[in-house]
Amino acid sequence: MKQSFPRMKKHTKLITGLSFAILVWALLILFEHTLLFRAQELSLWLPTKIWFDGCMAVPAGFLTYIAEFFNQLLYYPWLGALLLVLLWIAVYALTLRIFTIPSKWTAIGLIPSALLVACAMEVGYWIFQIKTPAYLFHATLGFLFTLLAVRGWQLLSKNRKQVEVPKKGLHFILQVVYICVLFAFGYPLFGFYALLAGATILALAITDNPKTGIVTALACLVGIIVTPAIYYFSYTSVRKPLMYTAGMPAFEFITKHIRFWIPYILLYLSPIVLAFFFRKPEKEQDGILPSSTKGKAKAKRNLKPCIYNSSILLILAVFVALFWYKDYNFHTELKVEAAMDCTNYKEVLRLIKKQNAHMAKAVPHFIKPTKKANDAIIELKNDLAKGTITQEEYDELEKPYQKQLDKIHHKTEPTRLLVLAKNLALLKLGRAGDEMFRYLDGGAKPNTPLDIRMMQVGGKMLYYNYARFNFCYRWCLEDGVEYGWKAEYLKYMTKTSIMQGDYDAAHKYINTLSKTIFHRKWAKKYQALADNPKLIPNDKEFASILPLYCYTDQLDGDNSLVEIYLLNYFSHSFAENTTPLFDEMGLMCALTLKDIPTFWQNFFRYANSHRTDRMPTHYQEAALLFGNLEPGNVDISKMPFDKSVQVKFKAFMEYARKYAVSENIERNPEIKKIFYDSFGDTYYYFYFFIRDVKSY
Amino acid sequence: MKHFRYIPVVFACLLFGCTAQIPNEFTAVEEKPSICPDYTDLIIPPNIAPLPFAYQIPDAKSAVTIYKYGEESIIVKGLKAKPDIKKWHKMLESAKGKNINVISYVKTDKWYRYKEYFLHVAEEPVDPYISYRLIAPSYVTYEDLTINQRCLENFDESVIFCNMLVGTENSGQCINCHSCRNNNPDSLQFHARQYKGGTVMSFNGDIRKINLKTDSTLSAGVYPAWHPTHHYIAYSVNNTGQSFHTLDNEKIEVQDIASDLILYDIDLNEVTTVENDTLEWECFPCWSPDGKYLYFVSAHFEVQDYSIREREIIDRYQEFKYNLYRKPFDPETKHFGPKELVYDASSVGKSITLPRVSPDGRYLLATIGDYGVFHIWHRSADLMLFDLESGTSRLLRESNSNDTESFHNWSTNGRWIIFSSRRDDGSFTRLYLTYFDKRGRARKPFVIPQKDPDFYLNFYRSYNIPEFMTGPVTITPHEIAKCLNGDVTGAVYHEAY
Repeated sequence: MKQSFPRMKKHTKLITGLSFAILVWALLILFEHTLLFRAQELSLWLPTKIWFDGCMAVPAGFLTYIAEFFNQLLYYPWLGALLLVLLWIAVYALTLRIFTIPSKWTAIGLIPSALLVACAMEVGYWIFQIKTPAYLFHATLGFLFTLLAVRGWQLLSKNRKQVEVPKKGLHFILQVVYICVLFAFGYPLFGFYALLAGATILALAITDNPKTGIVTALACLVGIIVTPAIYYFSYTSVRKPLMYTAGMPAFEFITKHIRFWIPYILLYLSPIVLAFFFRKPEKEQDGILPSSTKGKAKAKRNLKPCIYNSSILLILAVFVALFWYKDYNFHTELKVEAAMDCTNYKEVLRLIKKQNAHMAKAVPHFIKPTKKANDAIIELKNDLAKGTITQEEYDELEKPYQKQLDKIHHKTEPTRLLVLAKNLALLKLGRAGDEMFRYLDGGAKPNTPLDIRMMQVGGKMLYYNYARFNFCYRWCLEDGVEYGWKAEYLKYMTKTSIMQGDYDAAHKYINTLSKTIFHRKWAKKYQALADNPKLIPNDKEFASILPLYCYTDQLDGDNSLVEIYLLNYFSHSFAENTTPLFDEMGLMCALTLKDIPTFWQNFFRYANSHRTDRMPTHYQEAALLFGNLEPGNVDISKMPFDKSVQVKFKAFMEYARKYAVSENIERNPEIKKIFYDSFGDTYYYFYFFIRDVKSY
Repeated sequence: MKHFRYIPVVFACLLFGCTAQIPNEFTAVEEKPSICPDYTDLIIPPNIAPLPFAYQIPDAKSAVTIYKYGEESIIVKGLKAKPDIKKWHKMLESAKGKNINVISYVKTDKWYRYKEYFLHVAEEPVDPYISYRLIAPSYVTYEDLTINQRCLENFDESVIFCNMLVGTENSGQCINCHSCRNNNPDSLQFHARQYKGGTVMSFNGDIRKINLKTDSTLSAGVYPAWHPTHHYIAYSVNNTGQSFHTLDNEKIEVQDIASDLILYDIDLNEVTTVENDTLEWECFPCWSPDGKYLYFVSAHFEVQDYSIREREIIDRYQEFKYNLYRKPFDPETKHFGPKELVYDASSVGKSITLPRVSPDGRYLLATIGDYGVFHIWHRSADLMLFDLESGTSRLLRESNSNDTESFHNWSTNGRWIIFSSRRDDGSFTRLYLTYFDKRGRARKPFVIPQKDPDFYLNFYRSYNIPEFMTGPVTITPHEIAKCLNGDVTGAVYHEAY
């Protein structure tokens, strides 16, 4: 019995670690599969000297290099996730080893690992903007280095206790040498994490024995302050203050982004705090209970650790859950883009339908708060119109209500990217005219404090699929320069170069991709197309885009607003050699713009190129609506509208009269809901109720 | 102990393995080997670094390359031929004015000996250093930009300045248009724009940040031209915009919305206007070597509807045809004479930019394209040579390619030309060096050598504005950063003399 308790303690540690690993791995695979894959697409690792040198040009460059190496394993999300989890387990094991945490507090050993999970999974839209390469692995590997470096020092320190007094001096020198080596070599390779190791050693040295540890602590302190300052002169691209934070995540340290810093700050504090709380003599830490412990007292002692550990685990779970980015639109966007990449347009629509259903369920819960916020905004608008408040006051007063509405929209509306992806899929499947307004519409802003642009998320995919190759290429290049080269950008640059007949450029990107471990196969496929352009029309993906590649050159610019650019471009392009698909896209854009003269131009162009086809429902609806709204423009009396279209239009108009549809009606969520239930699948609803949608 | 007897055997094996063996049996091939970069049949400077290359022969398993001059030879084994730098320089020194023959043996299914080619070593050396800006070929965004220097005699490269030493995440800094006076690295200037911007001028041991923008001029100085004998710099001042081709592979059109010429007097810290005709788009100043003429290019353009001036300039971008002009200049009085037309490019439907006069004053090298001013984005852009003595001109066909040739400069002795070209892949600018003989003929150009022959394939930055330098810039990046972080001196405007 005396031996069974320590064994149980050992098992507690093992069981805690294993449970954590299995749970986190399962969560990653089940819910973040697409994010993991995309994180890999938004990264790159090349086995070339230039790549290595490029990484090493800044402090912590080696950390970046190995993080990028591991990150590519996310090509198989289960494998990459497994590796991540194993690294977190290694952090857990080292934490237990370094800080000799008593068994009743075993779960405390999980704090750094849990914080690392939070750090990784809070990423969300940052994945498109963060300038920390291989973000998911970066902090984990850096922190692992910190712990390994501390453990290395501990092993030296431990030996010192066992050696004879005359040799203690030698060990002491060895320790100082170790610290110097840590800073001299650790800093350029791991940047801040070497400094963190120094800070942890400092804390451990002081708590271990303040008298003897003072020299070690001083050595660490000097190293932390001096190392970056000295290295500043050997790097030519880092400002002095940034030398101290090299290797830390590249979030801005501003109030708006402070939330992203919280897990990191706690992570960086954790080893120092643990050093102060869990650095007791080892005998005490073993927690071996006196043999006389029996009966109720023993049971109590057995129960207590369970309660302590469970409480800590619960707190950690809540913390991780709080920081884990769970936005539904974001995750749908990732899945939709993945499906689009495989030209699986039906899957795109399935995903969007699922998202629509999810959002529709939430709508009734937000009717009251929406109405309250909208009423307040309308009141403010009235005050502005009357002149009782100035524009600046209006802007300031409107902010909280708008913020509230934005929050509601995150739960009840799709983002514009999802709307555009849906339209693209419908266009490719030839179902746009009958279905494009049967889906939930709206314009939820991306749920993030970042100033994210559609261009950075899915804009390149849209430009590519809409045959705006130069613009797709341009933004890949611009973002590649700003955020670093990524496999995704190189793939689009390859494809657009092939489509543009720029085969030399395509070969360059193919050559780079063929050097990677996981994109070689992809590169080989496109190598064949670049070598033999005659095969292009036979390629399923290219063939689906070619019908939109029928425009003439002009000088233009999109101001990084993808949707506005596409809407204006397609609805105002009247080249002679357009294709039926191009014409349909023009009409779709005109419908979205709600500009009546533009609609008629595109309508007749469409009708002309689709003479033998049935006029789709939404186009009929729009013609009927605009013919009635502005009767003088076009005579619609002889147009053969479907009976169902006419019936629905009449019904809509009756509803409109009944509910006195007027200005700002789209701001009344109750009436909006009534109309949505009856007409949510018509263009009429879109025309009157989907307004003030801001693209980004 | 008995195992020690194997040591000599192992040593011998290692030695044998490391020594390149010339195949005894081979089949002769009547063509030169395909190599990348193409370093066959060149005239090279006697002080150039080795020219490593990789064989581009399908299924090649092994190769032996022999550089041979008289009795001397360098034997290199491997599909990447990288001659030893010491042996290389020794051979170049011996072979000055003569040919080095290069023999290639390549093994595929068996050994083949390819037709040999030559490297002619010129008598005249090239300036030992070049400077250039490294930039990703993006359009609007930029991140880290560096102005670098490279020793042409070896592969050493270092940063003169990197914008990240001053710029912050939210306040970026663009650096451009570096230039040395008469190729002397001790007189250097470049511009830093946006955050903590200004023109950095390192001159006579003094480093200063100057704001060249005055109320009477369009912008701060842009394209510089150091006066060869006096302490002046001529600049163009430009308001530049960019628009994007929706279809064309050239992708972007960079245009000046307006541009003029100014003269900056370093000693007086004074700016004067040289040209500011509102119907003329003046750009790219360049002095004759005696400093008595200022060459520049200018396009005549009349806006039809001023209410949409900018849009009109963009829409009619192909109508911008720049001609070559010059103005006589008296360095003592700073007085400019009237402008004279040197070459009417518009009359042949072309547009000429970037004039550079050879150090002996006889030739002028420029870039000519179909339209516009920013020829690095124009695939029609080629180098064009003017004989100022005879008044004749011709395309420098020996050096041009089907793709873009743009920025160029003369070596101090006038025998070497460095220029930027996009001939490799159409997107990334590389630097090419070509010999220019006394009779005014250039030779086959070759890309600046790199230690790894695959370097350019894997490198995702462009080389901008190559300039020869007689030595390295010694001022450190951190000193320049200190200057940029410090105070700026505003230049004073003075009416034209």
